[in-house]
Amino acid sequence: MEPNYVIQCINLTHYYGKKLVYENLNINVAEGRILGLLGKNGAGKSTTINILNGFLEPRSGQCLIYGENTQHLSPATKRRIGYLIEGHVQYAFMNVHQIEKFYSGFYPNWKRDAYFNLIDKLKITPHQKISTMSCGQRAQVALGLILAQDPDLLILDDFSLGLDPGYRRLFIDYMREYAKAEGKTVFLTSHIIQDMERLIDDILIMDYNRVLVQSPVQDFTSRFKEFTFELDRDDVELKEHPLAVNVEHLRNHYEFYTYGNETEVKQLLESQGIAYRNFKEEPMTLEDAFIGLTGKY
Amino acid sequence: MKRPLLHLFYKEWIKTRWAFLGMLLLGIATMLYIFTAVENKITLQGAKTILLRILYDEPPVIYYASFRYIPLLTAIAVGISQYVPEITQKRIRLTLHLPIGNHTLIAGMAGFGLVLLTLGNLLYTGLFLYYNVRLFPAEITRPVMISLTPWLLSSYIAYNFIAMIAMEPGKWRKVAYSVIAWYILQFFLVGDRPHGAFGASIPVLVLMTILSSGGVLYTSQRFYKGER
Amino acid sequence: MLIKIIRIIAVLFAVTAAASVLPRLYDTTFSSRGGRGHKDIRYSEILKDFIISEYVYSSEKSHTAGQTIYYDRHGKSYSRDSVDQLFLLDNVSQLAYEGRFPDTICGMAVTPELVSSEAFSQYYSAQPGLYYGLCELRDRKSYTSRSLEPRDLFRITPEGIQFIVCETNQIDEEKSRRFTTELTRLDFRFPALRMWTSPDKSVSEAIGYYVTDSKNYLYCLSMELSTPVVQKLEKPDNKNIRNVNFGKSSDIRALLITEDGDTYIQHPDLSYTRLALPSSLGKSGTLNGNLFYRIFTLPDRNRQTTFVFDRDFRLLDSCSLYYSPRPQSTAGVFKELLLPLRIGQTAWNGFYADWSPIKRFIWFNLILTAIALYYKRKNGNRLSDAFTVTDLLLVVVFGIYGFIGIFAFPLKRSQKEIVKSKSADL
Repeated sequence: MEPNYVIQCINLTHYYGKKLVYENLNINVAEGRILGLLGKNGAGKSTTINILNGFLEPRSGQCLIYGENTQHLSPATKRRIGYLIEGHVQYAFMNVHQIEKFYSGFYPNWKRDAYFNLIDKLKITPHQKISTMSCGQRAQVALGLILAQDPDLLILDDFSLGLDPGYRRLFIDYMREYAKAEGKTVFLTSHIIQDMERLIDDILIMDYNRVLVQSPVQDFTSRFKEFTFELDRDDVELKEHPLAVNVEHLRNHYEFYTYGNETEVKQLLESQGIAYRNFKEEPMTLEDAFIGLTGKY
Repeated sequence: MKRPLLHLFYKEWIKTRWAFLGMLLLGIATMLYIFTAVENKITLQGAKTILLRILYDEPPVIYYASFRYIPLLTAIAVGISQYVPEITQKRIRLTLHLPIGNHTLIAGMAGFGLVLLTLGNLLYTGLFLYYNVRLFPAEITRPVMISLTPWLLSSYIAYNFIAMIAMEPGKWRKVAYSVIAWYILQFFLVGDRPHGAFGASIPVLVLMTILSSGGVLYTSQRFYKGER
Repeated sequence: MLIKIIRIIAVLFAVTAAASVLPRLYDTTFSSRGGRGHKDIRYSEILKDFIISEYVYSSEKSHTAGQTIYYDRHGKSYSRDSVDQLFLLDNVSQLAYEGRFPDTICGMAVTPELVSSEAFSQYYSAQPGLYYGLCELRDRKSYTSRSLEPRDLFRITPEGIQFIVCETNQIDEEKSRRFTTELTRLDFRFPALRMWTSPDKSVSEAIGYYVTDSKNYLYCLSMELSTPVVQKLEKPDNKNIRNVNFGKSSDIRALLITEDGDTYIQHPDLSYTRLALPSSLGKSGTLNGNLFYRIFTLPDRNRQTTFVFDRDFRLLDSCSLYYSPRPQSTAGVFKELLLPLRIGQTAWNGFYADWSPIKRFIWFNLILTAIALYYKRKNGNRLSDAFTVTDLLLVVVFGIYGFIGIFAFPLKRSQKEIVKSKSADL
C-alpha cells in the first residue's frame, strides 16, 4: 500500500542567481516517520527548510505539505505544523506566561498543561523575559510550545544549536517519545549527528547539487561500510572505481567506503595486483558514515 | 478569526506599549510646556498683545512649533519597537508561521500600529483643543488646527514607511526607501508659515497617507518569496 | 493583483520624491539661469518723459563688473550727471545738501521741505492678505485716556458682531449688542465677508475698518468714546470689492480693487475716481507720489508698465519696460532635457507640478523607456502584462523619475512563471 506522504517535494530545483543549489530533488516523508536531513554547510539544507516553510519560492518544482503547496498553505494546514527556528528563536520580549497566552489564541486544541509541565521545571522567575534565558532554557520553552500546540508535523531546524549535552538529551528524549506515542511526523536538521542517530527513522543526506542517500537509517548503516587496510605504496588511486564511494588515505593507511562487501573489495585490490595487509571492516557510527560518504574537507 | 487577531494585537501591544506610552508622556509634556509658555507670555505681555502677535506678526508666531515632530517621533517609536524585534533573527518567520493568512497577519500588525497612532493623535488633538479653546477664540484655533494636520498625518506616513522598510529583505532597497520616505515627509513637516497655511495641500496629503498604507504588503510579499 | 497595484502606488511615491528633490539638487549643483542686467524706469518732471536706466554687465560670462546706462524711449542716451538734473523731485536731499536745489520746478515755487512732504510710496495689491476675521477696533479718542484702550478683539459672525475680551476669552455681551444694533440699523447683513484697516495705527484709529457684509455692501466701522460709528459707503460704480488698500497721502483715503480688476481711488470726501489702469487681478503694484504726479507701476508676465497720473488722477503717459526672456544656460537646457517636471507645494495653493517643454524631455524619456524595456524582457516580463506596460508608460511620462521608481520597486515574475514562459517559447 502506498504510504501516506505528509511532505512531498517533487523535482525541486533552485538556483541562487546562476549558482545551482540542487536540481530535481525529490523528498518524501511518510506519516509517522522522523526524517533527518544531513549535509555539509552550503549543501542546501536551509534552502530546503525555507522552501518547506514557504519563505522561498523554488525555481521549479513544488513542495507539498498535506497536499498543499507550501507557497500557499491554508491556515488550517499551518495549524497542523509546528516549527522550530534554528537557535530556538522565539519572541524574546515576552516572558513564559505571555508567550503561552499569545500562542494559545491560535490553536483551538492548545494543551496548556503540556507546556507548563516543562516550564515549571525551569529555574526562572515568573516575569523573566525569554531574552534573558540561556539557550537551553529557550529550547525548553520552544519544546513546551510545540508540545502544547500538538501539531501533526514538526519541522525542527537545527534543534541542537547552542544546547549543552544535557538539554540536547532532554530534547531528543522528549521529541522521540512524543512523536512515536502520538504518531507525529518530524522533519529535522542538525549538525550533531549523534543526536540525530538517537532520534530519526529515515535519513536524507545532501551534497552539493545532489542527494546522496534517502533511505531508512538502518538500511543505510547496514549497507554502507568502511574497510581499512595498509598498502606498500601511498600513491594508489582507488577513487575512480565504481565500488568506491569515497577513499581517504594517510600515507599508506587507506580507508575505503563502499556499499560493497569485504569480498568485493578484496577482489578489487587483487585484480589490480595491489598487495594489502591488516584488512578489516570498521564499525561506523552515523557520523562516521556521513563523513565517509561526503568526505572530509 | 477575531480571537487570533486579538492575540496578535496582544503581542503587538507587549512590544510597543512602553515606547508608545513613553512618547505619549513626551507629547503631553510638550503640550503642557507649550501652553504654560503661552500663559506665561499672556501674564507678562497681556492677552491682547499675545493674540495680535499670534494673528499678525511677521514672521508668524508659531507658539505650537514644539509639537511639530511629536507625532512623527511617536510613529518612529511605535514602528521601531514593533518591527525591529520581528526582523532581528528573522522572528517574522514565527509570525508568518501562525495559522492566519500572511496578508491578514501583516495587515493586522500594521493596523494595530495605525490604531495606536490614531489614539495618540486623538489624545494630542484633544489636549491641544482643550487648552487652545480655553485661551483663544475660534479664529485662532481653526487655522492652527489646519497647520497641525500635516504634522499629525506625518505620523501615519512615517509608520507606513517604517513598516515597509522593515519588511524589505534587501538592505540597499531599505536605504533607497528610507530616502524616499524622508523626502515625502518633507511635504508633511511644513512650518514657519502663518496659521492655516498648507490647508490647500491637506486633501493630497490625506490621499498620500491612505495610499502609503499598503506598502508593507508589497515588501512582505518580497520577503516571503525570498526575493533579495 | 493587489500587490501589483500597491507597487505602482509605491513607484508614484518614488516619482513624487524624486521630482521634488532632483530639480533642487540640480539647481544647487548647476546654475540653470543666465544672468541679466537690471532695468528701471522713472518719469522725469523736467522732460515730461520716461528715462530708462539699465545695469549692463561688462562681460556676459562674468557678472562681476558693469555700469548703469540711461536712455529715453527714443533711444537718446544721457550721462549720469545730466540725469540727476532731470529728477529734481527724487533727489531733494542730495541737491539740497549740495546747495543745487532750485527755487522753482516746472514753474512752481518749491522748497525741499515742501517736496519731501509730498513724496510717498506704497505697495498695493488686488489680492487680499492674510485674514483671520479677528481684529482690533481702536477708539478714535484712545489717545485721550487709557480707559479707552480696547481690551478686546472683534469678529462679525452670522449672529452679529462679537467683542471677545482677550483676558477671559469671553464675549462682552453688552458691547456686542450695542454694535450689532447699530449695524443692523444700517441694514448690515451678517456675517462680514471681509474687513480691512490701515496698517498705520493712527489712520486705523481715525478711519476704523472697511467691512463688506454678506450681500457685498460696503460699510465703514469705527468707534468713538466707546460708541459705535457706522457708515454705509457707496461702492465704486456699484461693483463688489475685492481688496482695499489704505492710502498714504492726504488726497487718497483708499485704493479699492473691484472684483473685475478695476482700480478706484477713494477720495477723503468718499467720492471715487476710476483709474485708467489695466486689470489688476492677480497683481500687486506700487504707487509713488510726489508734488506733481501719482505714478503707478504694474508688473506683468514679461514686462512692467508705469502709468503717470496728475494730481487729479488724469492719465498723462505710460510706458512699458519689456524684459527679454532670461537666456538659458547650457545647464538650464540640460535640466529640461533630463528632468521632465518639478513637484512642490506652496503655502496657500497646495501642490503644483511644473512641466518642462515636452519636446525637450520626450526623447530622453523614450531612450530610458527602451532601456527599461530591455531589462524587463531580460527578466522575463511580457508586453502582454498590463503592469509591464504601465511601468513603461510611467517611464515615458515621468522619465528619469519613473525609471528610478520601477527599478527601486521591482516586481520580478515568479521563477515558475519565467520557466513556464521559456518553455512556452520553446
